[in-house]
Amino acid sequence: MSEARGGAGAIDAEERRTLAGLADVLIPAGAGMPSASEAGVSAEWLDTVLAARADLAEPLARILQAATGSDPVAEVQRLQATDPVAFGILATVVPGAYYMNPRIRELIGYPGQRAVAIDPGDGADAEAQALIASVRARGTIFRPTPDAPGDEA
Amino acid sequence: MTMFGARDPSSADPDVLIIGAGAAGAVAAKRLGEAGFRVVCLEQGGWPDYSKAGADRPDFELTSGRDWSWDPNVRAAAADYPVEESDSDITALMWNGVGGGTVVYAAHWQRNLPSDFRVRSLDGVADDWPLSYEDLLPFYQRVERDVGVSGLGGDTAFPQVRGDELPLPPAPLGRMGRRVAKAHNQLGWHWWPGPNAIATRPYRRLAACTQRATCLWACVEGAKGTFDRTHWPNALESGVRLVLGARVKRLELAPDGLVRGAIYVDRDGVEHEQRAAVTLLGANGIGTPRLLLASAEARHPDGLANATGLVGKRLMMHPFATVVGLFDEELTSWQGPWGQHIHSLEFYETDTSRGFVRGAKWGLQPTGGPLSTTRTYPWGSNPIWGADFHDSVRRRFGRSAMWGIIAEDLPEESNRVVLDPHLTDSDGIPAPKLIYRLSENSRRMLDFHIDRARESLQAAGAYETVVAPLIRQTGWHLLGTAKMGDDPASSVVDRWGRTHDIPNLYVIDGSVWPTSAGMNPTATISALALRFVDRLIEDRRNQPVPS
Repeated sequence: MSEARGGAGAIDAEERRTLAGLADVLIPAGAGMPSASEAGVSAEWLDTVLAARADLAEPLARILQAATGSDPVAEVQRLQATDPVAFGILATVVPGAYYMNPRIRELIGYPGQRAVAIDPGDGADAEAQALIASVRARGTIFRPTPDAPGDEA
Repeated sequence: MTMFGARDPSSADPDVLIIGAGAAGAVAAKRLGEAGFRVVCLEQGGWPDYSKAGADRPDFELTSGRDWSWDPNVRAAAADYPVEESDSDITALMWNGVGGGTVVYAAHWQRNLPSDFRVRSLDGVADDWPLSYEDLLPFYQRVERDVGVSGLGGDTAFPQVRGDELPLPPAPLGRMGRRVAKAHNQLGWHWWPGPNAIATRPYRRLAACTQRATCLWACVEGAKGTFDRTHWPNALESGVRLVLGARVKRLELAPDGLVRGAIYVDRDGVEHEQRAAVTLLGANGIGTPRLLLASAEARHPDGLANATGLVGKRLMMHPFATVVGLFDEELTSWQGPWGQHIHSLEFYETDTSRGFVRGAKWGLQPTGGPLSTTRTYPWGSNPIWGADFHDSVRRRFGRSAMWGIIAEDLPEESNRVVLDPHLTDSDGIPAPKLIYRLSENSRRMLDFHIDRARESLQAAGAYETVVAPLIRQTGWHLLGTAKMGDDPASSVVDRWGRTHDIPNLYVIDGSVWPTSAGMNPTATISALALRFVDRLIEDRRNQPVPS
């Protein structure tokens, strides 16, 4: 591959079909959650991932080309056992795309790394004060400096 | 006006050259600039590009590891130099740029304990420091005001000194902090609200923390006490000149044997000489010995300030472990300071019945967003993919808490930094090679602390604990490679950071630590740099300068 890949066209339709198969091995449907392909991991959310991480497009394309026509379960097992770098890319792209989908975030209760102002009262409440008082009551635990302080020459 | 004793008052060269704009260099630059010294700082990197700090963007978990990797070999940015690590159990982590490692540190602000300065006297191993906790206390306090440290005074693991308060109130204990605090009270174990270099309220140039738990990948809010924010603006306002993209090749000596300055390469590949009356090295525990060794010349064939042969030796990097607890309760453990909610020093002091000497500090931390729950660190190779995927994520995400354990490694001359005979950086300067092996004492210490940390989390209600696999990428703390001591036969610098061999050359970073303590080191690196520079100013009339 001589041309750098990037953007929404970085992974072609056949490669996306291959990705959908591999992705569903990693993240199948279950426990009330859709599978990776149902969540758009090989579609729009893949594009979002590659927009943020264009550096992953080429290595991902190579993995998918090599996997075309393979049994997805066997291919995932093979990558996991013999090619940790390639598996690492797959294991970044697939859940990365999955958790970019707002519907998935909602299902697991993840609003993102939100800004939450610190409550100035936290730590001043009775429970926190009682917890800290208990530590104080146990006394100090450090070993003091054995020689006299102030040893400046 | 010349600031040093015998200096030619007509000299146009600056008084002080600082190499490295990290924590130590920032402290020195601010103090010297405000005292009226003419200062130049050479920094191979640039300012952090906070536009890449994406904590507020949905793709944060995908991009943070690329843009803010702690490993210079992975990051491979223009400012970085390669580090040869094939003979090291631990990878050295660093940030090359203004603010240094503080740009990507977790901001755990830990003073050393009194016993850390008296390791030989109290535990019969390694060396005492040529200063005490009490000597350093006023410098801790001054730096803490500059950095905007948050926390609660009266920590029972430390000497109780009247008025020894931190400038900002502590970060919230959070649900996980409260749980573990209660458990430790039941166990009778120490804990305390975590001291952090994180502004819990607006403070000087810092905004208030918004608990996005992204401290380790640069703070998008400007709430973390990174030295590009807490020190450099003041230094620049006082007239300090900061030269960016300036990679130092070697130090140059004058005919009288004193340091004359440094040769550096700019980003256009052009060499320059920067002269000064006094040179301070603050390039971290890898970069500083690298530069001293690379500056070897006829009068110093083994490198500068290396008459003892100790430059580069006694490298200490703090073996690190984590233990995660899984809880039934929703703990919102993707939010909070990261940073530490609480810390514990229960097992910090030596108890020889444990089968090792010295100890470790624990910091209780968040565990990150959903993508983090799928990764092998800190979750190990526990199967997650396939049929159990959703259950595994549900168990880990938001319902976990993590102890980070910083273990003290003792100094050994066999653990060292040398110049690699083949590898160079992009300017042809020899790269450092690390030779570092974990000692038996360190392994026993880690095993003991991992077991106790499991007990802590189990007592807090964890139904399962997960011990992270030992991984190489944990060398955040680079210490010990230019040992400080009073005896020129067994140390590189004296108690004021001045090299024994060359009296206008100082080392002001973590290289000087005689032992590593078991604490996150930025508090002590900064306090020590301030102490060194205060002394340089105080004693300026006696300071030898090149003729």
